[in-house]
Amino acid sequence: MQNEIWITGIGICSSIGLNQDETLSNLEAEKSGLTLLNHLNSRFVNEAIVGEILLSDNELADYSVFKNTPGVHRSLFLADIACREALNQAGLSSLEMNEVMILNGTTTAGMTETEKEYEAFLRNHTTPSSYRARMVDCGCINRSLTEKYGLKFHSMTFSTACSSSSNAIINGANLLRSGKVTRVLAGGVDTLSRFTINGFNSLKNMSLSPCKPFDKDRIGLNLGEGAAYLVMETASSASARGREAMAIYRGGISTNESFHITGSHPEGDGAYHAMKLALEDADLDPADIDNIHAHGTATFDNDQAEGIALKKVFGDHPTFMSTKGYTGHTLAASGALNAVISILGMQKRKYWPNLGFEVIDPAHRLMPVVRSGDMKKPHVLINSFGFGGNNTTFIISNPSGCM
Amino acid sequence: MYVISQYHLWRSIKPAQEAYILPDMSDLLDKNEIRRLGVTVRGAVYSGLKCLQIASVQSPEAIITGTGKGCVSSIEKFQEDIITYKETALNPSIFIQSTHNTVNGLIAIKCDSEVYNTAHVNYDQCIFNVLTDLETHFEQGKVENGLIGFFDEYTPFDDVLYEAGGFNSSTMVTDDDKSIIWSSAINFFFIQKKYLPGAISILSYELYRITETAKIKEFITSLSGTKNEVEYVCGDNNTYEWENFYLPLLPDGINSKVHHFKHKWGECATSTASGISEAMGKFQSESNSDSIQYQVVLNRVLDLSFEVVVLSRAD
Repeated sequence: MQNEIWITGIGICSSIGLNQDETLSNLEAEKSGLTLLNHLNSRFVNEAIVGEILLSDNELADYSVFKNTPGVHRSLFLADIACREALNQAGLSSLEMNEVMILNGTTTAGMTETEKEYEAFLRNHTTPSSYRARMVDCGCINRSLTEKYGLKFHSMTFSTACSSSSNAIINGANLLRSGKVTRVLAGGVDTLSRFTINGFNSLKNMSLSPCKPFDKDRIGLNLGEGAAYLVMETASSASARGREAMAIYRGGISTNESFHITGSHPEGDGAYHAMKLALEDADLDPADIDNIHAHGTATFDNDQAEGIALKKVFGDHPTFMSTKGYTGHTLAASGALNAVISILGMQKRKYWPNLGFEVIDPAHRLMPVVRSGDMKKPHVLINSFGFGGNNTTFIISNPSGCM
Repeated sequence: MYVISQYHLWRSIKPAQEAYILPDMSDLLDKNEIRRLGVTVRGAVYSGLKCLQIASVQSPEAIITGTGKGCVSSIEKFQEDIITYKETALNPSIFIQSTHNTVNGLIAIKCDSEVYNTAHVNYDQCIFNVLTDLETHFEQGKVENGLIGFFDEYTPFDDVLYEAGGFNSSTMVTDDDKSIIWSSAINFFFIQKKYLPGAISILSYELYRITETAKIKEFITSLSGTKNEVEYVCGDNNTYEWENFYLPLLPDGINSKVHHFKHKWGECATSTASGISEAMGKFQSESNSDSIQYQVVLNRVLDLSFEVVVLSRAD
């Protein structure tokens, strides 16, 4: 038990809720957060289907401790909302907060503001404010949160596209195992931006209708925005302050498939290796896993590769689902969102259906869960795959064990 | 940790206006890659592969990079195209190259590497992050070696951001030279866990808040107290920085040689890596053969943090 890594607090905000309660309520109602794009200055407004938090930046500020701080952008508001929920749940004193190292995953960071500033610069040679100028890099979220909350000065930011927050979680666990830190706040955030919407549209893998993960007729992803974070600590550290585990981090791995800069190996080789190695790291067999929270972006190539890989590891009838039909694809935040949603599920001993699925894909003939079900085993396997061939898988467990 | 090989490219922008000193890359990149890839992606991928070639390593056991802001010119180009083409007919290649781990992914493809591969994008803390990440993998027995690399790119819009952000004469510079020499820089190192003859050892690395001057001085003094032949490689840009930020940190009454690297390498988020490359060059230089035993790289990154890296001749 002393070597275990415990998750003692979680926080989440996305298009299905600004906290755990709202998220759980929408999951239980099987209610999607996908809507027509609203808040961006883009030709895709009222055209693209996205998982957007339906609050303007000014409205979001009311939920954040950064409300009156100049230069703050949407990513920091979302990160703050989710981080504070996780830290509050972990019940850390201000002294204990000093030992918390933040590991963040993000790709966009201040992109929503940077794209406005850059356009103003190109058109009118306008100079951004000093506050904005210091909030454009990915590390600005850590700098702001560290200072505001009084966290450990040393932090990490991972940017490996859609696997960024999973890399933050896996590396947080590695640092805890190594004894370099006793407590981490790990997760990620990304917001919708004109940059990413146009980027994914240029790749021709964005769907203008609600996504259909793992469905034969899927035509692409819906982008989303959100943030999710876990407080992870050694069992001895948590026990010493009288806390119990909400979930246990069992093991995980980050690998590269060295195949194509954006595409997945068609036979799912990279996803297969990530899942196999994560199971080895967790000292578990495929049969020990209750359900798989898949990456499942609903792009043709990703879902085919992941489906084939799932079949190779788990056989013909794995219990798996993608929750992109609820939140959209939140890019860097997606792995952490999957983790928090799975932990919410563990507490209810439930998993929720894969929205949008209708027809089995002949490429692997696997069917995701289409109705909510009861967890019978304690372990959930979580996948996140990113551009650059970056594949991550980690496993979290219910501390109460099996039913 | 032992540095087996290093390779670097850099470009100083102000005031030198020099271009990258770009080598012929056709020995490691094909024609299409040279044509299609942006200058920093291309330079970083080439540097990573060259570093492996120098170390006679086909494929490393880990690939870990650090960058302050990534390949900024690709990001800016895609933003510009969004405006120019009104969000239509955009080139996905530019979007892909703007992704922070594209350099890692391309190196992995080129050297057929299916191992741990990640990108730290944490501005001034990247050097500390990457070394911590690799060291943790060494300690846990997961890998025996790794390719680590740092790249940062300067563009004219950066100049606007830096000036607006307050990184100007009032906080950073000097009486005699009112500008920081912003630069693009690429530095790659192949590092292994076990000693190899001729390797340079990374004895320790530390990251401090810039206000922790007493702690930094205590650390540096503890090194010089035990080591007779310490030289310092300092990241000051000019007289003002030297006198106000660096000199007060060095042990009182030192006799050691002090080298300065930013007038040559310029400033960027990962400039400590340039300091390490500078120190590596001094170790490897014929004229310094065997004379330098220890080098301490001291670097203040903008007004954010202070990094200290201690290197020693391992033989």
